[in-house]
Amino acid sequence: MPNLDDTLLQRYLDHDLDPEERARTDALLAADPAARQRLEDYEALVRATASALDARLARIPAGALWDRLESELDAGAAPARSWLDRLMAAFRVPRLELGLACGALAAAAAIVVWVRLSAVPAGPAQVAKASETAAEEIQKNALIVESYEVTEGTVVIDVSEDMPGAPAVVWHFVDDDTQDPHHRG
Amino acid sequence: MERVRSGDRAAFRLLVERHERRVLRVAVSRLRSEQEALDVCQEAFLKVYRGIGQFQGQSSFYTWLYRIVLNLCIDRLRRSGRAVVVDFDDAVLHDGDGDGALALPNPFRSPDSEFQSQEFWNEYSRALDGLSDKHREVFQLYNDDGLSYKEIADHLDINIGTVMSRLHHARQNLQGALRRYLKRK
Repeated sequence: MPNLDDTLLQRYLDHDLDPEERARTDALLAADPAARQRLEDYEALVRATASALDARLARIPAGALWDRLESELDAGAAPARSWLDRLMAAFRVPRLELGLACGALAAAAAIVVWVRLSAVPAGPAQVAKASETAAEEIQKNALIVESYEVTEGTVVIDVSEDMPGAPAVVWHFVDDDTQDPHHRG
Repeated sequence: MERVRSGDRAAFRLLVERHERRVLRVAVSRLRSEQEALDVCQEAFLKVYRGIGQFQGQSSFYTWLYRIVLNLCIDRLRRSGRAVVVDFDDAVLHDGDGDGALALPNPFRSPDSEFQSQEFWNEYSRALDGLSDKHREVFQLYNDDGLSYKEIADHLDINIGTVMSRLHHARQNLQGALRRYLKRK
């Protein structure tokens, strides 16, 4: 006959056996009065300890915990909600709408950043190139009225061919080694 | 839960009433005092109310609450120099039915005036204190909190065989200590 050890009895007691194991154990218990007594002793212990704990629990009046909690709540305890919950509550915005609004804000921010990056001032090489082009245009189109040397180049006062009566002052930085002498006044 | 988050006190009351007996049972089991159990459960529910915004719903509400109650019990036991139980690991504790509620601790509970006496309670408390921390913890997790062998094994990071062995030894020792009460039946 298989041994009806305490581990098996305990599993029987704790309903940890599958139906087939349980049926086999029932058969063994029927043929083993000592094992049956050990099982009954375990059952008595479980019943007694649970009953004792239940009795202590029954001494706590129904509603006693809520009464205590309500006093605390009246004294000002309030749920501390997450910042997101507080934000949504403040504006009464459902989560979906809040998500869409955040998305729109992010897109707007991205556009602003892109525009700002596109408008970054040109580097030294681009400035020099633009200055050179401008100087050539002035030399082709302008009538030089007056010109004189300054520390960093030459200042040219000219008049546009299109508008002879409207003199304009142009800061024209000229490299002495490359400048055509006829245009230096 | 959403209503509790928004500060709805009636919804909070329903939440308390749904879970209070179960957590009071856990607290009485550990602290052996109804008054202290009420203190701890009051503190636990207030923590829940104030921190409901942090509850993400990854575990069941009861698992969250149970962890708070058990940790508060452990703190109280440590502060008072009484027997200390093993820290709770919230990775476990579910009974698989999806409602977040634990199964009832055992099928043998029934009113029994003798086991509800102060005398038996005192003797039972002494017997529990006489167990090793490891044996007492497994016994209480199984007997009073309703965890399965598997949940206890995960919780304590031990194998199921060790759980059964500790539970068996705890029951044997308690039987020895309470024999004269149990044999009266």
